[in-house]
Amino acid sequence: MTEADIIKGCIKGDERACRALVEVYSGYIYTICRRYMRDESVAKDCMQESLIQIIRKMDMYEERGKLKSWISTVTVKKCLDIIRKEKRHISADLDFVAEPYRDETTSLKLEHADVMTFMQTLPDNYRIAINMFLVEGYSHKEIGKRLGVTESSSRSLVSRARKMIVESFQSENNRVENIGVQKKIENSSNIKLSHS
Amino acid sequence: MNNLNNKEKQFKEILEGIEYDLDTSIVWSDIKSQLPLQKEDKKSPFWLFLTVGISLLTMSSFVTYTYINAEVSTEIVEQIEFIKVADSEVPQFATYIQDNESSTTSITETAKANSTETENRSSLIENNNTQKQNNNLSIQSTSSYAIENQKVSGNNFDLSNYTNPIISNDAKDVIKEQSSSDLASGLVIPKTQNNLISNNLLNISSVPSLSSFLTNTDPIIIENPTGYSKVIEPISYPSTSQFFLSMNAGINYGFAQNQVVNSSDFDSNKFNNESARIGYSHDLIFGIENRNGWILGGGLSYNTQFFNYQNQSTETYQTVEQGTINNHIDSNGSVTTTSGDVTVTNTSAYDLSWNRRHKYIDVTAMIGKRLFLLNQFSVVADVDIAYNINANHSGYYYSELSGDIEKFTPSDDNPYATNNGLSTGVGIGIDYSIQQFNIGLKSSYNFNPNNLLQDGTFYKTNNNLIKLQLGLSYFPGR
Repeated sequence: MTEADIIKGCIKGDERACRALVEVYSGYIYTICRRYMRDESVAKDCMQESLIQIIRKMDMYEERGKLKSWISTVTVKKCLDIIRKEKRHISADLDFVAEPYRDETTSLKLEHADVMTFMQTLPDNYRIAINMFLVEGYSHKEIGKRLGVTESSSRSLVSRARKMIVESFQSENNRVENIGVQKKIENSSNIKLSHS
Repeated sequence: MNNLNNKEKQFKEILEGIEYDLDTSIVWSDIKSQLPLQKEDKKSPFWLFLTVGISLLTMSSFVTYTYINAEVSTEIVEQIEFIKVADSEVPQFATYIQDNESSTTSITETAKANSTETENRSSLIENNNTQKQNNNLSIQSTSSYAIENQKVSGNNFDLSNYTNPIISNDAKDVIKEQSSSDLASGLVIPKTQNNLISNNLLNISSVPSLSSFLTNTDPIIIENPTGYSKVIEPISYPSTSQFFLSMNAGINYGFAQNQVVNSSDFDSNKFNNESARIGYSHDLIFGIENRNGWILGGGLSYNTQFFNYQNQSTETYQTVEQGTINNHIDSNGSVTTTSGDVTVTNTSAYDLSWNRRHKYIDVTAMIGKRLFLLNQFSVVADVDIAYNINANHSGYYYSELSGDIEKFTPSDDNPYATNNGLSTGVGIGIDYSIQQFNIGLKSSYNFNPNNLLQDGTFYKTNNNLIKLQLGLSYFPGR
């Protein structure tokens, strides 16, 4: 089944096409969700909601761009929505972007496991900033728009997140700095995500 | 993004490269109920619809024709008309009575409408030696009563212009027993030299058994309780060769065999996942049938064949990769990670159901023989040879490279041959004859020794077909 068949089939509600989309893209969507979500079960919920929304809204997909990019956009938006809902009760000033807690005893390598460990222990705002800027390639203007913050705030957030990466991971054969992240810091550094 | 340092680039690449294995069947089952899925499209393919439609139309036409024909036959029995009788006329609407028990045959003529007029006429008839009592009209033997024209109206009955009418088995006439009391008026006409009524005719007072249909070569007369009768005539070989046009439509079932021919690592057990599905076969044949029942014909044959590949299995294999084997978290929340070889169990769950379709257009030539003639039924056997002129494929093929099946559309490159060569077939069918038409049911087996795939493909596929078709043949000269 080609990508065009999947798109047409999903619009018609064809079961085979929808299933094919799940088979082809669910891994990709889950990977995005895991990058944004700290909790694995929340990431799975996010993946399911993203898949449902993608299939339901397939008629809104314009074939000018790649389907994968559109799926990524929808999934990121869904991730932000879920994070926003979870953190709705927490009100934090955007300008208050606290430094994560640093622990000199922890060492991290630029390997899969350590990178994910690093991402999962980051406060939500930093994790979102790193994902949107580094992986998805959003501009500060777009990040600001998605997060409901100003462009300068986005720059500040991304800048600090990048600094954390540089400082937290040692070079290939030389451990430079260690970083530990504690949840008490995470809670105090959450930014307020407005509805976009 | 362009000003990322090496560490950031590495970090980005790692993040982008992270993949997770998911059991998509579980994901699907979790979200399926929340999707606006339409019910599975179970619309039958067009050709199935057309085939069923033609079959129903044919059957309803047959039933309708039979019903109408029965009514016509009853009229035939009662409307034997004397057109002209010498210088004077005899009343119209005569009904013959045959007495098979005795050698005496009489003809009684009703004269409802003309009775008054006829009474004043001097109708003459030769050798009138019997006079039925209570008849309103009697014809004396002293005159010269000559029947010039005797016409039996209706299907298959036309004795007009017979100077000397002979009512016999050959004339396919119908005799109906009828008591004199049934007649409003009657005219007794004795059996004469030129007015013969054969005693060979069968008169069946009830519906005959099936065996009588299949064994009698004489006409069978069915008389129902209301007094109407129907004649069933036996089919016969035509007196001259006749052209015909035949259309057959039906279904087929393929017997495909896949076999690895070159040394290959391909797992041939995957061939077992394939099974045939019902396809469609349609023939258009123009031909000629001679007086001995030999049939020669040629035309086009269109076959669509379907196969289905299903794989609903699970494969599990293990790999050793670098990963985290231990995370130590101390009382301060510091994490110490130990890396090493990790055994990863990979599970692949297959839930495939793909279809393969082949369309073939062949030029065919056939020779056949009408073997048995059983009243309206006949049995025809034939052999044919076909040459493929067009082949179209879509669906999937087995890939040596991937070790599995690959999908393709008709426009994609695929290993199937574009010409399927020569094939042969043998068939047998039963026909029912109705005037200029034959309605038939035919089964046939087509044997194709050729590989459906191009030369050089690591496996070969042979496919034979069994067909079951309904046919309609038109004989314009019958």
